Amino acid sequence: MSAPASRLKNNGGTVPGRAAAERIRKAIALVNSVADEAGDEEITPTEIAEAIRDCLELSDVDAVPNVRRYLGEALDAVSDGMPADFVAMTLYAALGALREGS
Amino acid sequence: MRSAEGRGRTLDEAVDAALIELQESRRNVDVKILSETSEETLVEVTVIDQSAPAIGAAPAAPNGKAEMARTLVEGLLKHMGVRAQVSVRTGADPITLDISGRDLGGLIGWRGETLRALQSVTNVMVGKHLAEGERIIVDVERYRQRREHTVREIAMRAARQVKMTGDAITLDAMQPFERRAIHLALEGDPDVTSSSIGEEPERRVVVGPRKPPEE
Repeated sequence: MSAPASRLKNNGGTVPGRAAAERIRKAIALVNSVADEAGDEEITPTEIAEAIRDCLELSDVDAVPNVRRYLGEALDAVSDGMPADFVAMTLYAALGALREGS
Repeated sequence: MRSAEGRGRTLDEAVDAALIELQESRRNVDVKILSETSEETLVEVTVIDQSAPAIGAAPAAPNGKAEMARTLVEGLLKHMGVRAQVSVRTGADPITLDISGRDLGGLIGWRGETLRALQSVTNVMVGKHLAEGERIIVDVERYRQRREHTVREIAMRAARQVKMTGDAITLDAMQPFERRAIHLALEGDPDVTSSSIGEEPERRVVVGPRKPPEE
């Protein structure tokens, strides 16, 4: 018998770090889209910054050491106009820290 | 470089025909579609140069940047405890580093995530020596190349279906380099067009009929 949808949703939400990981992946995908020149969308630094701020809004990022710090560094890198690969690398560091800590 | 032409009713048949002639496996070749109609597909299949220099060997055409990147990635992998060989892919533009070895699945990661991270790190490390817009591509066991081939074939199949039915097709969510490969594969097709919809990481390519320009 399958579990009700609401229960599944609740379970998904309580997995530590999952929501944060999803949002970080989204931010990484945006940055990679710029770096890989997907050529199908004009992505602005503002959009990337917004995606990173979305990550920072989650309480999950405080549950694991360094995740908030890496995300903050990524946000600084975007506002400083650093190359997309640098931003991506910092976001990967946040994702890695989240994986190791959760 | 060895190559052969293949004809078939479908893309797969055409590629298989050329592979039989070349006596090669699909993994070692590059496929270029020369023409495609509803009845027949004609492809040119080229064997990928497998004679790339092994670790420590001098590259055929010395390239300072490529060699530096190779050494850096080699060192990085060593620190990670990964036993692998790094070589510079000959004739590739942009500079492409091939990592090969045993059990490198972990280096590719989920949907190529770890590989993509490794590429980001590599570009950051080598970045100051590269010209603006110049990038290093990192591939593990030709995963990226195989994915590009696969998505190109998917694109061609979708294009053929769109031409037959006239209906647009939405493909699965793909990574940026895969979407780019699809756009490039279809850009020369006068009958179909490709665009992307949705938000990352669920962004998808839509292949649809190209509308004639309004007069």
